[in-house]
Amino acid sequence: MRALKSDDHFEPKAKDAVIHFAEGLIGLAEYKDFVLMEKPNLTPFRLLQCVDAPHISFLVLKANMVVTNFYDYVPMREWESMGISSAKQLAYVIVVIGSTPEASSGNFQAPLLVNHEKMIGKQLILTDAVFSVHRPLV
Amino acid sequence: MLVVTRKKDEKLIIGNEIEIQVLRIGRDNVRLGIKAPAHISIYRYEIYEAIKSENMNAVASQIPDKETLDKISKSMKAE
Repeated sequence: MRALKSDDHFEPKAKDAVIHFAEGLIGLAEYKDFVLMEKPNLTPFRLLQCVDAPHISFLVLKANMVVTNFYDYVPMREWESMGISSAKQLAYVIVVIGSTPEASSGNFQAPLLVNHEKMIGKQLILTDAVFSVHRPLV
Repeated sequence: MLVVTRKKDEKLIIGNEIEIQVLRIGRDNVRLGIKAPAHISIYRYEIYEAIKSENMNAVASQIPDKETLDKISKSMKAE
């Protein structure tokens, strides 16, 4: 285990398309533009890196890699408000790595919906509380 | 802070699009109805604060080492 270091935040490349979060993430409204970066030593996670602030980044994971039918729990109106058709559903969860795999968790109560065609994203809160903010990954 | 007194069934309007109506007044709570455009998110404040705090916490998260990564990867479901 090691802390994030500056060399983990490699410079976004021109080809990394920017995803615009119009409202920012919850509580972090000032950061609106992110790139979703893949690194071989991070797979299956990706790094959601703020374009304007090197110190703002999140480890994320496709939600359905842990909860197969996760997308069914997101209300249809939320997908529709993002212009996402049922065939193109895609949501990530923000992950926190603990001292062991068992202590690592994802925030499944507040997933990030991403429309990869329009390159827009939104964090929403699932209020029916089926999922915890600390759902274990393993 | 703007403070306004309203009776049961009375409303407030915020901007041109957001309406808040007092539906019921109980002994120590009130029931509100809110009409707003779909792109406006409405959450109970304490839930919003909890998620905000989780987001802040996750910014300072750590990169997993290879062993942790392998173990987590193995438990992942295929897409």
